[in-house]
Amino acid sequence: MEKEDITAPYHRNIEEIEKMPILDRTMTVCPECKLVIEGIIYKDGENVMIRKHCPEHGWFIEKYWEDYDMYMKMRSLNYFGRGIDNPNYAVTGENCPFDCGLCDRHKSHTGLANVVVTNRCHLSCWYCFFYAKEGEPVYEPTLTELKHIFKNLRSQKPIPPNAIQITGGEPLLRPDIEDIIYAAKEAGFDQIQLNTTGIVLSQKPGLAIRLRHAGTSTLYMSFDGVSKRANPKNHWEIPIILNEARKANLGIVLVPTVIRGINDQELGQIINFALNNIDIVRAVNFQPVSLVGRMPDRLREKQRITIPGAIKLIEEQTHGVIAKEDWFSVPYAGGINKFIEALSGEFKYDLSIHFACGAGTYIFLDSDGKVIPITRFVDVEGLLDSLQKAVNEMEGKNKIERKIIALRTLMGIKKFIDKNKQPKSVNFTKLLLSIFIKRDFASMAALQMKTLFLGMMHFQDEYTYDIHRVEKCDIHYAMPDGKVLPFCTFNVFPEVYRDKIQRAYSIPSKEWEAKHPGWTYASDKYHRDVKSLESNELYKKTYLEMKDYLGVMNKVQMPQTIIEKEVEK
Amino acid sequence: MNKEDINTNGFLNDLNNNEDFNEIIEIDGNQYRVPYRKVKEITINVDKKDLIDMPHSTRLQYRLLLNDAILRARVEFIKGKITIVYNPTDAVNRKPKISRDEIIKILNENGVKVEKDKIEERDLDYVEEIYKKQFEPQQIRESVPYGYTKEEWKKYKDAFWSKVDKNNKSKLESFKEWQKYYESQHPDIFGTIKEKIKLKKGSNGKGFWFHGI
Repeated sequence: MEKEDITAPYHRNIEEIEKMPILDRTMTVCPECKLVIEGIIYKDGENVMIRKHCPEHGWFIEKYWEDYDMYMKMRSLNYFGRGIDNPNYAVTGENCPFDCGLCDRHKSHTGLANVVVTNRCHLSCWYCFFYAKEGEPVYEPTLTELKHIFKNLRSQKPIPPNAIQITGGEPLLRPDIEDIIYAAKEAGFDQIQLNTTGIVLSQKPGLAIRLRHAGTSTLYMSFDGVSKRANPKNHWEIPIILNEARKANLGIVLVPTVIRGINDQELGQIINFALNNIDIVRAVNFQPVSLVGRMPDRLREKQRITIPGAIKLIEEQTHGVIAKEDWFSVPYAGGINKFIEALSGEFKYDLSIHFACGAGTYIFLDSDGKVIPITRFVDVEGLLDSLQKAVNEMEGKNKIERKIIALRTLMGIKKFIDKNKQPKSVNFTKLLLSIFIKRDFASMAALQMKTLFLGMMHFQDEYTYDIHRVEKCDIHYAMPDGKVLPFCTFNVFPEVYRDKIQRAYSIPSKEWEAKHPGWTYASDKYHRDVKSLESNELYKKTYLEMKDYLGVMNKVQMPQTIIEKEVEK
Repeated sequence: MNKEDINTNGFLNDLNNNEDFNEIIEIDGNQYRVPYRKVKEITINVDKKDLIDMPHSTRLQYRLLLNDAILRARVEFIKGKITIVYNPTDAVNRKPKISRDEIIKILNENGVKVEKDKIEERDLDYVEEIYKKQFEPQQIRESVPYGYTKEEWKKYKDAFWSKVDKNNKSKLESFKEWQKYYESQHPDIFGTIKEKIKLKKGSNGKGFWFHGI
């Protein structure tokens, strides 16, 4: 039977669509006029789609999740968190998503705080409308103002965020970036991510060491593919950046934005690249593209890819080494935290985001070069089910009774781990017990060199918008006016959130230029010397001497570099 | 600002008239950029029929917020009430401004009739009544750890919060100790450290990336 075109679900007639099984109902917005309307999530073959009807603008059909089985598996775990006891904008949220700040209806505390430290950028990517252009005001809060924002985040109750991402524009354009990172450390953040292209690290040797010293835990670095074509942003600088990060022991999370038809053929390659640099790459966090802003329908349909779409491509490209069954949604991990919380009586992260927002898995690189996903030797579902039962049993019990329940549960952990299939270099039972009993995450440090976390995070746009996802979002932007905003309101409705607040708190260009004599918008921009970068020994070593752990490397022909052309001669 | 406003004579004149306005305020010895001082709040009682329903009220709120001079907007369908905080034309600051009549015009254009005797207006100190409150929000409820009742939590929550404070201080001290160790590993950047730095027992100085140092 001929496989249907991927855009077919968009072009069925409404009568046919209305007969398809309904999976859920939600609230969403009209992409044209922002009227809040009902969204119906339904099954169309193996796809999960969302349809919505605006009385003024008609029907909108969009892909919600490209795998029905995965959708049904992931949604089995979806719970509400505790939200925030002291919301910054204490309104009831009846006009969600236009009541944000956070309102008292929000269901998740801040799990990852994003703070924009500048809108200046050294690149001018064609799809980005964020960076400051000639003559526009500069958004760049002072260090004092950033400390105020950090304090605001850390005063959230009952669970203040302990992870923060410093972002921009390009944060490394700020000369006081080390002070900013240290200030975040002083404020109490444990995990400090720096969202960057990394290019400045390739220009300034030693900066990575100073950033690590200041408190940076990881670089959250854009990496759209292994080839030049897929990653024109920083393909040439990556080898130098990795080298600098190694000298500093500064871990890197590679962040590919996945667009169907553009770089989706390199997902397996990206994971293989990460495995080749597993000593310094901690994770790969794939971000299926959010199609914000106007674009022709046909183009949107062709470029749309969702979490299951990317997962299935990875399965295909890695020949089943990393299969779709190996992935779990974020709420699955919430069970572990709940167990520790019930045992200790200490608040832990809720991990209560909507199941459709993200997914993840761990893969282990064994000493013989085999790649083993965690699910191949751990019955993850069984383990989490057992922990949840223990949490329910602990309610109302005294301290000693809780400890007995916990001990009994932990003694039973072994049955969920297949010792014969676990990586030879790992004693997973011992590791889990170390986490649960000692609550010692430092014991996981030894694993770092052998594990890679694979994540998926799909931020919404006006077509996929699901208000149930927004109210559970735990990735929040903290603003200079005191508001805290979920990612998918901040970026999907920038006209009333991001851009509006940043315009109000920006510095007029004349004032900025007066305070920074000699500075111009053009002086921030980066100019690449491709020949010189491709001649670098690191470049050859990084791209031409990779091991093929997943059987992916014969799929994509690397464009010839200058070195190869010379060798051929 | 709304792009169509930027090059108007009115806007440019306003910028010139308020050229000397200093956006910086001081709170507890710290300086912050805050663009507004005295603003206005209007509360309008309207006919619910004009608001149509909750989704249309939400959309009206969005449309009001599109205007940069409108700082806050709440359209409460059930109460038949609209509350707007805006930057008035006589405000002393360098941001886009709007008059009450212009706001009424926007509402009229969106099908909401406004009777002038049903408008309440007051002056608002943006810094005291909006800015500071968003940075020091009130606690409206109290959550308890999973598996615990409110009564159990009451007994030991003070001990818990004091333990949290203690942990926050000690983890910063641990971080500073780690910094000294890190400096000793990179004398090319930080200079030669004479003091011999020892790591804590069991630590390899590298930490686990997901949980900081």
